[in-house]
Amino acid sequence: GVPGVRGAATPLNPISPNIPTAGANPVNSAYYQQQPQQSVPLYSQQQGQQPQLQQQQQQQGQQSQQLGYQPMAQQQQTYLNQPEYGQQGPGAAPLNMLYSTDLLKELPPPIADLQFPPPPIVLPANATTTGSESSNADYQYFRSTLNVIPNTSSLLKKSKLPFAIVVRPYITLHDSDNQIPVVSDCVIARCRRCRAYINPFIHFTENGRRWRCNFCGLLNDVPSAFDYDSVTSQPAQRMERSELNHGVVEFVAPPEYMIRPPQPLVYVFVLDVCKFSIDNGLLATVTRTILDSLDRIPNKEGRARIAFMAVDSSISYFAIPRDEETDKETKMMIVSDTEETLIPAPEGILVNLKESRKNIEKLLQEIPSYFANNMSTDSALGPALKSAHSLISRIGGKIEVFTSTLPNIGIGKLKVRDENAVANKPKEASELLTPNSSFYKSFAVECNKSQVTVDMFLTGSSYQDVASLSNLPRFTAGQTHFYPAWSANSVEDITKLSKEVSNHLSMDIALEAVLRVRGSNGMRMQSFFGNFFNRSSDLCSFPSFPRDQSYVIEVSIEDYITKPIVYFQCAVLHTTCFGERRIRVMTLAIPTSKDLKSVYASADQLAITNYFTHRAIEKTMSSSLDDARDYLRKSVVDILGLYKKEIVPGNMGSSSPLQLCTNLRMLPLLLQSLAKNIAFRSGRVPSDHRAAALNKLGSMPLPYLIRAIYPSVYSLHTMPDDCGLPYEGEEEEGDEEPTQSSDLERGEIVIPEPVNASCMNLARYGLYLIDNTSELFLYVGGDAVPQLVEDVFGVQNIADIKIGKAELPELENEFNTRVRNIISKIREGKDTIEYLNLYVVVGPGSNESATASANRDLIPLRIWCMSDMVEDRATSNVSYKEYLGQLREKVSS
Amino acid sequence: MADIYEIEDIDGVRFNWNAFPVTRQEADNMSSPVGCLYTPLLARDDLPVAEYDPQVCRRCRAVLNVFSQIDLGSKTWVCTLCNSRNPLPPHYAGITAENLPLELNPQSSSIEYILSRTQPPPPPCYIYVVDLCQEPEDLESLKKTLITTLPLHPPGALVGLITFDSVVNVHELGFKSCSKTYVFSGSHEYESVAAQKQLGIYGNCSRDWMRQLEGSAPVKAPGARAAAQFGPIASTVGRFLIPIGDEDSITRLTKTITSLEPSKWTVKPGHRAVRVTGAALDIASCLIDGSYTQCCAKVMLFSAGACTFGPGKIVGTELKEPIRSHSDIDKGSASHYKKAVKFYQKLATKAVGSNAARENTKDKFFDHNASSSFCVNIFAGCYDQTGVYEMLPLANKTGGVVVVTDSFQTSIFRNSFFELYAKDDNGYPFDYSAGSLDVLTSPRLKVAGLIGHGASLKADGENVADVEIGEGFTHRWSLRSISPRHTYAIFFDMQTVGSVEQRTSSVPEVYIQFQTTYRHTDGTVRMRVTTLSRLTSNSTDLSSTFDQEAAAVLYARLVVNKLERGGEYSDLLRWIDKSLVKLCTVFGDYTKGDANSFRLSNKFSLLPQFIYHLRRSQFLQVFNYSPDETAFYHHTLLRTDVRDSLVMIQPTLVRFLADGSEPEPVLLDSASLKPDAVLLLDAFFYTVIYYGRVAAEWRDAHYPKDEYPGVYDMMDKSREEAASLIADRFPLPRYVTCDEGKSQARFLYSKLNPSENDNNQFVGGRMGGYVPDEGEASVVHTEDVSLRTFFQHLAKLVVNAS
Ligand SMILES: [Zn+2]
Ligand SMILES: [Zn+2]
Repeated sequence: GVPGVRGAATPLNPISPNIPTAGANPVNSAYYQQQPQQSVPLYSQQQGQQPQLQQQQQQQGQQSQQLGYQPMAQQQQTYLNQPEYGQQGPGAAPLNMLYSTDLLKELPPPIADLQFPPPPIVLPANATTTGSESSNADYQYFRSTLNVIPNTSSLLKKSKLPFAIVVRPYITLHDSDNQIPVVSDCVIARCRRCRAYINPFIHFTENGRRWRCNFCGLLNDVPSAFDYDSVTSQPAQRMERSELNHGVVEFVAPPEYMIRPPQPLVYVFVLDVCKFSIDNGLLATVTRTILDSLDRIPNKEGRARIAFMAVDSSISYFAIPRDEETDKETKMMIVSDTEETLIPAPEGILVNLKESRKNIEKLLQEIPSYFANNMSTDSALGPALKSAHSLISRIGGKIEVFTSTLPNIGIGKLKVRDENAVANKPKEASELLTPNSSFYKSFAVECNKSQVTVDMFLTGSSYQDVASLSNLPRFTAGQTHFYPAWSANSVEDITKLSKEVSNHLSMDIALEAVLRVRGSNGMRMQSFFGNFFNRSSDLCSFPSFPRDQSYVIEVSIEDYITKPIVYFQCAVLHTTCFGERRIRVMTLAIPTSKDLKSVYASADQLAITNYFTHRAIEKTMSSSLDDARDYLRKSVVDILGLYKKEIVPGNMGSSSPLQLCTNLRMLPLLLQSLAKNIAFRSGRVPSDHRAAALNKLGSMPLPYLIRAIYPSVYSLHTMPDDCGLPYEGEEEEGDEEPTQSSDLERGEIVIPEPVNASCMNLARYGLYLIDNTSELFLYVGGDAVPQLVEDVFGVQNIADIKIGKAELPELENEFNTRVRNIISKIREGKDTIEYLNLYVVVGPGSNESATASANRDLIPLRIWCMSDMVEDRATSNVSYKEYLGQLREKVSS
Repeated sequence: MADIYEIEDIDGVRFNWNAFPVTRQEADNMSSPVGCLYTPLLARDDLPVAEYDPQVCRRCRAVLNVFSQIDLGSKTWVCTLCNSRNPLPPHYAGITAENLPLELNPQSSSIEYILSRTQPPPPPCYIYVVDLCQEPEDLESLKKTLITTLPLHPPGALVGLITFDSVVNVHELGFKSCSKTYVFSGSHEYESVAAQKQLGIYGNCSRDWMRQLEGSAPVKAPGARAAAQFGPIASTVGRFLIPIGDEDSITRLTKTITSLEPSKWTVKPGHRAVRVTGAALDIASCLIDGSYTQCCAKVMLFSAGACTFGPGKIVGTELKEPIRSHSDIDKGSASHYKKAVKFYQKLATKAVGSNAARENTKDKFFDHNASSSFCVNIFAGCYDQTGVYEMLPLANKTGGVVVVTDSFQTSIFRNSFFELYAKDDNGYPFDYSAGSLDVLTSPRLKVAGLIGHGASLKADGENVADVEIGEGFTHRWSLRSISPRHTYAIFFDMQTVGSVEQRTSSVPEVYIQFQTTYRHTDGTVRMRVTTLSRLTSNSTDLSSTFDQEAAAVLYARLVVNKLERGGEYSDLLRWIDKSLVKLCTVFGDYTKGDANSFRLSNKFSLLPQFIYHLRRSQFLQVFNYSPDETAFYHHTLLRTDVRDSLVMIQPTLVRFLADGSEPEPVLLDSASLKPDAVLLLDAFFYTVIYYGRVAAEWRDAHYPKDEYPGVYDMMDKSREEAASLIADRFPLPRYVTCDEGKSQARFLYSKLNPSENDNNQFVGGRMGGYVPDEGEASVVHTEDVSLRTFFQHLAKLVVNAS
């Protein structure tokens, strides 16, 4: 490869070669022989991508041969004509070329694009100090909606494209799964003026005595430790320092970076013990899960502390003695006065997990029996939260709430809202989706200030007011997990909740974190989206930093940008859960241009979708669902209109194609699908579900967001032979650069390529797996052959398949194994705590018996599952094709 | 008329005057109201006990008694008190002079009835309220004492536990899975029903304990769960109050008490512990309110310091704020005093029983459906004051005891506490509950009030006087806790006639009947009936019926009562002196103007001396004591019989000599001090063994016993005598041993008549400390004045009185 430029498709991080790249397409010849593959390569400037390119071209050819798709000759042609990188002079790297696509001819839409990396960031060879290929932060951590930035704000405005940064400082739940370079000598060089951290894009001057800040241009002294290691008394190699070689790096912070000594990890479990939570088994399940997960709580230093509170109309506390205090017993103390916050004992409530381990275990085993006869149906959750906060406010920590009951006592009490009156009306959002008590916002801010995070696990079978409750996690960097109508009568429900809670507890979280994004002069961080609290203009505060969320920051351009490159740097100052103060620094260099074409050619449709998602949520909250949907539609129309008018002018008239650059061609589909999501969908949606979906879309990492918007549909009955089995590795083909597929580790289960989410693709005899990030549907066509039914479900007759929430039986046949392998593979996430429930859905068959269709659950289940077919028309929503037709009319008019 | 001491032994009653005045002049001459000290439950081996219900007069509810006239012919009896004729029940048909029912037996002037009941009354209920703000060793000692007493509870008794420090913990003793408490912040008073709700109690105040106990059995069948609805969970009995009958419950209680730890709330430097005593008592009252019908609980407060937070606060937490003194209270500078008194008084009203309270107050802090009541026993274990002074109404209105000691490690505390469980001959603790005293009188005699550990039940009636002495305007009082140790002063008001001429139209004798009902610890409800007959001045000479001992004690009670109602010390001194002078003027022998001629008959001769000591006693000389000490003294006086009260007023002094002579009572006078003698002072609250200088030397020389048996005899006898004094006393007195001239000897010196001052009268002023005030026969006291001086001036005032 050519130094100084990196393509997105190459292995990105030398430290961590095993990160699966989002754009990784498992390449397997057998696979492509059966699977339609509509994707075309989008861009390439470097040799490193050639093999992939060739392969894709090859695949394209194969597909067209076998399946009769028309190769997109024009595009390929354009692509092939693209100049080689090497032909360009140094320092003036050509930016990505613009390729246009007629959306109307791109049917079905090429969904493989959804897994592609963003357009590469093209930088001149001398952009970095060391020439390291990992100088720029990996897009998984830090990506921009625009990989070429317009050099004025008016140009940005004109482009109709949003300019925002998507930040995801952690991409795995556990550090062990993704180690990044650590600067551990506590030498942290920062610009004196703008406080930027030294990074691969600075330059040394004056014989290496000083470095010039790439953000503000100030000359700073180089720390002597860069050249001389005072500990070993050896000369040091400054150019080998991690912070000069890696776009994502972590510094071990010296004491100056601590306001106070690192605090221990603290968990307060707030357990609902009302009748509902006894009856549905929540209490028993959660206590069992916590018990089983105690070893997973990050606690290698033995500092973690833990407390339990039980809530009904009153609040019960537990004073837990240390194990060595053998003469003492755990005491339950009940505070029923919900008007004032009272911690009933000065000590023993918040205890060291290690020191009181046995007593904690005993308590967790016994708690359900303490409340077995509880008849209370009231919940003083608000007062309980206040107490939990006051219990840990000096230390900070996490409040983990498990409840099935609508809080109806004391501060923060909520009422059932009248959904019938406003559902599907303009007032729906303002009446149902905004907090119904000011407590939840103000208290959340209070929690944030004292380094307290709240996580909600909601399992009610009736209204819980997710819209109000979710505010607590939102402003405290927590998360709201919603399990509607959860019941321990269902093994699947128990499995889901306990796996997710256990994963959640095991997460390596960071504590007392602040996140700040700096930009080059002229850039201003303007709006912030995600679960945290914006403490000052650009400082985002996270009492604890979760591993499974990401954030979006909108950037405004304040001045005319003269520099060819602008920089962004995200720093997350935090304490690890093991008591070390650290700063995770991510640096991104992006070229600028005054040419809209270049801007368009490097726009990142997935990041843009993420941005619009947040804006649509904001519109919902501030205005209405209608406005949010209108906003999404209008944004697409504006972009298409601008594209037509400014980027590819000339093609006028009503019959003109609906053009958009290839790298944005999935945007209209994504935004339309987004509008069909349960979060924004018109029609009757229970507000708890709506609120939970809004919350989820507003916090989930980008790859999950895209899948939540456009579900992955896998055709299992036609999957290639290697799918569902462990990957066996690829034979070395000479000295070829490794391809994407080699990112698949040996032994990992091979997943088939998804097909378009449309009923058109669902054969009546087929078997499909649908993943929308909330649930998995295993859809078996009504005309599936008996052999398939028997192999997969172990029953003779399709009518005997147990529909709904279920697990597949383990059967002695290969197909069953492969299907189960795939399901397990999808469920195991290294970057998410979620464990998806499987719902078995039997589709309509040609001779469906009356009894089958009479099954009360079947029809709603089918409708639910089919709502994931986002390309199709559904009740009040048009199909993608119709949508494109509407767009063309709008753009042409 | 029988000897007053015999009457006392039979009927438990001592009158100051054993006859009633008929004319206004006579009443005036007597200078203080006729009253008696009555010990209703006087322990008597030969007490007639009737195991049936008494015959009650249809008109006045008086009980058939020894004075009643029986007409066997018409099968009727005539009520002694109202003269109504009542039918005799059929089974009394066989009455003959030889075969009388028990109550008509001449020995049955006091008789006890065991009443028949369709339902047994609720069992005794004990609620410990334990202060955890104390030193570990003190708490350990307290815990040990509590655990030791657990098996002493009467069978079936219910026990509850409330602990407090900076917060109040109500222990759910019936919860078997783990230690479980309900916690209250103690920052404010609780409305009874609200507090009950917080405890998860719903409407139990109208359910009886048996039904609750049945309901508290574990509900097994899932179907029964819905049926039980709030049943087992919402009850009090079985949860907060557990029956102490079986081994299991004692084990559970022992475990719970054992696990109590000293408060762990941090005490800021320069501060007192945050202690919410008032709130703890308040919560206890709410729990009792919501417990069960007719509950009468015994609250045992173990307080190790003053309440510093919330309702009933005595002093702030900052140490720089000293705890109030008598002079602070007097000057009105005790900033928490009024509020605290108001709070504890209100709580006392609640304790007496909501039925009475309900009529008089719309207070939301009471549960108006409750029929419960309680008494409060206060045990203070602290070197400093704990606020007993303010809390006093809780004990005094309910019959509770007050024991003030330095810590719960003292034997005074331990033994006094054990005394509460002391048992009668049948093995049942004689600390009974839910008592009420009804006083019935024959016409013309009215009831003026009660001074003692009871509270008015506001029962108006024909025999209620229109003057009030103590708790008046009623003929019935609630005695929430009652025992043979409870003695009450009851005052009467005779309807006198204006002139001697009208005498003949008046009555020759009057009748009084005391009816005391109470719940015995053996599970019965009983009624003790004492019927008395007394002459009037129509038929006897008043002066011959005077009981100067009873009179002195009644004076003391009157004084204390007036003090507790905010009386001024100087006014009281003036009143008592005036009263004494009046009596002496009327009943003394003297030649007008000649002080030397003044003589008193033996019926009156000791009274001036009693009054002299009363004036010097802890009851009136409050400024030498802390308010808590004063409260303790007052409290004790108000429950004590004549004999012990007299010791409080005028301690006894016995001298032991080595010459082999018998111990000899000597004058409470400095002249009684001898170097070679051992003195034993009994001042009731403390006993002092005092060694004269030489006696102390002998003791320390360890002479051979066989050569000097007299010395050893002297010392042994004094100790034995002291031990026998202490043995039966409640509360246990402080026991001091001291030598002549040593600091501890002040306990003795302070009680002695300073007769040596007689020689330097001029030091105390020409009048020896007595200064006539505005020509009236009132006097001002100085401490140094001797009995002789006092007597001289009394004589002077008497002979010169107009
Ligand atoms: Zn700078
Ligand atoms: Zn009568």
